[in-house]
Amino acid sequence: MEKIPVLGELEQEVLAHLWKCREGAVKSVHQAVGKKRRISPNTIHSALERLRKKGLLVREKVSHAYVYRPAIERSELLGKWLNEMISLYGGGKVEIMVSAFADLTRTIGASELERLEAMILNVEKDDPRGDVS
Amino acid sequence: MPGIFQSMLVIFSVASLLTAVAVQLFYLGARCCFTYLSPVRRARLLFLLGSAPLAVPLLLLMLVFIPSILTWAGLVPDHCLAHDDHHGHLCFIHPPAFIRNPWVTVIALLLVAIVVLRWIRGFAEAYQARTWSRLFQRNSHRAPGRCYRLVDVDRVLACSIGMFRPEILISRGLEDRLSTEELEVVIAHERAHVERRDALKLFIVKMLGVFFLPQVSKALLSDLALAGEQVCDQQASRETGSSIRVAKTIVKVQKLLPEQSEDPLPAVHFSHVHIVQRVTSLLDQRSRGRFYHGMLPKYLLPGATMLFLLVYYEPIHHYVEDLYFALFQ
Repeated sequence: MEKIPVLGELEQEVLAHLWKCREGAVKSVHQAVGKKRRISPNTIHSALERLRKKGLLVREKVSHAYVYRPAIERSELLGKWLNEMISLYGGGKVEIMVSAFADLTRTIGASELERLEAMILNVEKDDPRGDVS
Repeated sequence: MPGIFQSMLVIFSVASLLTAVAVQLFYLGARCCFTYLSPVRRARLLFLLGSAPLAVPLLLLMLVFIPSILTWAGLVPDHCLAHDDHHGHLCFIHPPAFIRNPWVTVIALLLVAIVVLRWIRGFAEAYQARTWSRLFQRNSHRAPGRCYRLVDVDRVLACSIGMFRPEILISRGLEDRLSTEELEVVIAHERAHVERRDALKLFIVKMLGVFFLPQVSKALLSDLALAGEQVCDQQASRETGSSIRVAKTIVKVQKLLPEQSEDPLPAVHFSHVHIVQRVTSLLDQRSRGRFYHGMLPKYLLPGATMLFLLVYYEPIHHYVEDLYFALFQ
């Protein structure tokens, strides 16, 4: 499975801004993200470059400045993060912090699920509402 | 003062080890009977067992040093003056001398080092999990009127995430695929996890599992997680009024999951076993009657411990004092 980097707070904010605006140069990203955090354009530039090296942004030289664009859509990246988290969960790394409603690692077989469904149907015949007193 | 710290270290280490041995023997012997306890009581008992290797030594240290604390607070006369001076005192006011027996200190320090190293690894894992928790919390939004955060992804996800400030995460993919009633079940179940702080309890027991054999620690964690899931299922059944609906929703969500991934992932965790047990338990009408609901009130154990502490602190102080100086001096 392809490893997706976990991003720092600033990187996430920069990426979120670029998903919203579709593209941006250091100056515009600094205006939107950097000023309220009181960080310099150099820090924004570093964050943009880190994101580019992680394969999450592409850049293009327009006039004398680089313009950055997202290389991946938000939902796609979220899906990849989800895969990575489930993989860690399966490996017992984050299971203590995640209480999943169902077995995220889907190790339960289809036949077992069918057996459970048949059991539910049987009980439902006797007690259609299955009320809890 | 080094003598005080040395005595605390030795008493704590020995008490932890002895408690861990006792808990493991009790757990392995009585585990089959735990299924007769209702999930709430089972979860409570398993948490107590899991945290005993820390709680019991702390309590023992408190009992041992309580006479000098009471003297220091001016509540009782100096306890040590009443002793005949045949050995040292476990006391803050008249601290014991440092025992120049290298083995005692080396073994106690070795045990502490093992515990600390294992805890560093555990906390590193917790930090990693926290990073993921924050990542998903940051990349999700709470819609008005909803008690959960919506992750805008067309896949199936329903979980509570986080240890100290857990949040419920539900994916748009799951929201689209479930009916309102089914979604209610999922939310009620996850909300119960959040209210019970199950992740924090599991973390504490996992960290204290360092005192147990690995197999026992894993079994204890698995049993505690199952009990927690069953408590939340019961809570969801009560809130939605139907245990069958909860069972059906669990199976439905589980059936939706295989759509999202090409390969099953390695499973060294415990939730896969729990699905069957959770559904079976919800359906087993007799199980509602078979659980023990007798006199085990919530405050019985803390109350009994406080009473024990008040009545027996002095004899325990003397037993430990005699034993400590007989063995190590």
